[in-house]
Amino acid sequence: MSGASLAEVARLPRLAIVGGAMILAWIMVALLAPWFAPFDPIEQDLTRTLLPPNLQHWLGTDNYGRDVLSRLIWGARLDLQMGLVAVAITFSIGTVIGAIAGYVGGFLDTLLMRLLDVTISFPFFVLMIAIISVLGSGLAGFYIAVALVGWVSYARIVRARTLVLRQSDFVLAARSLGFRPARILLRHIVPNAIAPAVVFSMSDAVLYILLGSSLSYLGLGVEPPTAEWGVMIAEGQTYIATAWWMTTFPGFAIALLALAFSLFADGLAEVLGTST
Amino acid sequence: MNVPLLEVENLVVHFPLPRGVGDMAAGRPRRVVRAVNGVSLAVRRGEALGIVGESGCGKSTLGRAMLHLVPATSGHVRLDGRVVAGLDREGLTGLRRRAQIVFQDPHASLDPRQTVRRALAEVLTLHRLCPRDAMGRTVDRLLERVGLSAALGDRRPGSLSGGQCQRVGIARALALNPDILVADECVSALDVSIQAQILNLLLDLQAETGMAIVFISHDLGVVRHLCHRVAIMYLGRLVEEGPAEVVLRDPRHPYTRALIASIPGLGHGPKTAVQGEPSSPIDLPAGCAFHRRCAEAMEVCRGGAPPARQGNAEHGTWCHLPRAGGTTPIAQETGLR
Repeated sequence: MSGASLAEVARLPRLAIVGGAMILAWIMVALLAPWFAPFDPIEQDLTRTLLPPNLQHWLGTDNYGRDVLSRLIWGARLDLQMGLVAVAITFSIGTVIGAIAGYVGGFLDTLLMRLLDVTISFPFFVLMIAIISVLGSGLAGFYIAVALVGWVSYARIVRARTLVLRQSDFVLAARSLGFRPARILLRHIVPNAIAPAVVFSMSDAVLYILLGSSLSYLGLGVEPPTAEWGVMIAEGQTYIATAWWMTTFPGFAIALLALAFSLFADGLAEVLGTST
Repeated sequence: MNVPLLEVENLVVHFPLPRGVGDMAAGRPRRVVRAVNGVSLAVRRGEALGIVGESGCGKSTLGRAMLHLVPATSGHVRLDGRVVAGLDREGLTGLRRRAQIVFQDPHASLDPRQTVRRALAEVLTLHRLCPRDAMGRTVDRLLERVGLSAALGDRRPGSLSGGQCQRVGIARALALNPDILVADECVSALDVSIQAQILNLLLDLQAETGMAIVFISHDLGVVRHLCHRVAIMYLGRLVEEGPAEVVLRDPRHPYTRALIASIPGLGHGPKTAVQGEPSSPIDLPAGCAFHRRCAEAMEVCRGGAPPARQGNAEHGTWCHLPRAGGTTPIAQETGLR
């Protein structure tokens, strides 16, 4: 958001501030993982497998003797990254396509919107999994699949706003003042059109974090032994009866991060006067 | 110089409606909103011209077409005698600089994310009208000219009143030193007390700069105090045009007389207030567009071509029923400028 000042932050509802603080906390955890994590997340110690939470290993150890807390902290890096990068990609592509379709209109608009309809007509998860199966698993495949599928929501939102704004008096005024079309689109329409897309991107980040960890859980995303929450849950599944801490804590982490984004999104929506 | 500042000739603006699959299958032709249907009108240097008609009569479209903001379907717009359509980028920039518009909804006409100062500076910068180091002072002076304090410059439209926004809109138009300003219902969204302030501001600015102002309004009662000349519009056509004083004293067209009769305070003239709604601009009636609501409609009004202009070069009317002079009871009441 351009022009977000302290005064604007102060107007945020309390829950949004809580959500924002939680997001910031997760970002700090992810950035400072090498310092926060008490143990190496990958190195195995087969003498200390499946220890329940204790003073040395606060969240216990897994079947290879790795510290769950350390894997959780390192995992925050990947999961946060998957959420934020995926949203950055889809937000950018969707906004560009939506703004151009809405502003230029005509044949180009029809073409882009039919493309959007085709993309949307496939179930989201099925299409993602199909694309990743073709591209191969891993983060690169994940991001490409997200870019191919995820732009549609943003394109729809931004196009709808652009169509309204294009007819607005201040855009007409800008035309009568002799501003060039590119300037009108970039400086006057897009900044006013993206507010609902920004709000949506927050809840969308939740979706991509869940998607990323789900795909890793299914073996289509990040691969073991990398520390990632979905991978951790998948590995812990076998031991769920004996070592509950292996699945429960990564599950909590996903829920907490998702909650943080959701709270922030709600508060933002309230302030920007949009609803998701 | 006898060339009018801005002139439209046989201007036609049609908006095609989207054509559904059902229409195509049934072979129905594309339907068209005939907003402006052959209007010829000239704006003279430094004058105040009123374009009056009820909503939907095409007056706003006419105003926008004059500034080349909506494309003309046919006909010409001339600025200083030169045709405006098909101007290259440079020519268009010239037109933009010389002809400006102020809109009806003051809040909607400003970018909600821009501060007043940035909005004004953007115009000055893009037209290279002001060096960067003098920008602050130039913007302050613009604000002062429209009666706003420089302290309001850092506000966004959301925290300004309607009247203040309209003043910003005027300042923005004024930044380019236009020769002609189209005021499109520019006070109808404001409180009555503010309306007078804004109108006085426009008249003061006109006296100061000598620009021509085109007041587009549904309210003949307001326009008559402001304008040298008025043009009355009905369903995309002019029905009467002439010096404000003459038109109000001696209206020739039944529609003009109905409008005058409906002005509060003047309304005790002959009760000729029009009944019903205007026809749809999609399905225009044949003949005179007004005949369905005209109490004096004759056979000739109901078919064939619309009536031609009658009268003299100054005062013209488009009616089959040319009315000889003779004063109406209204005439004595109208204290006009």
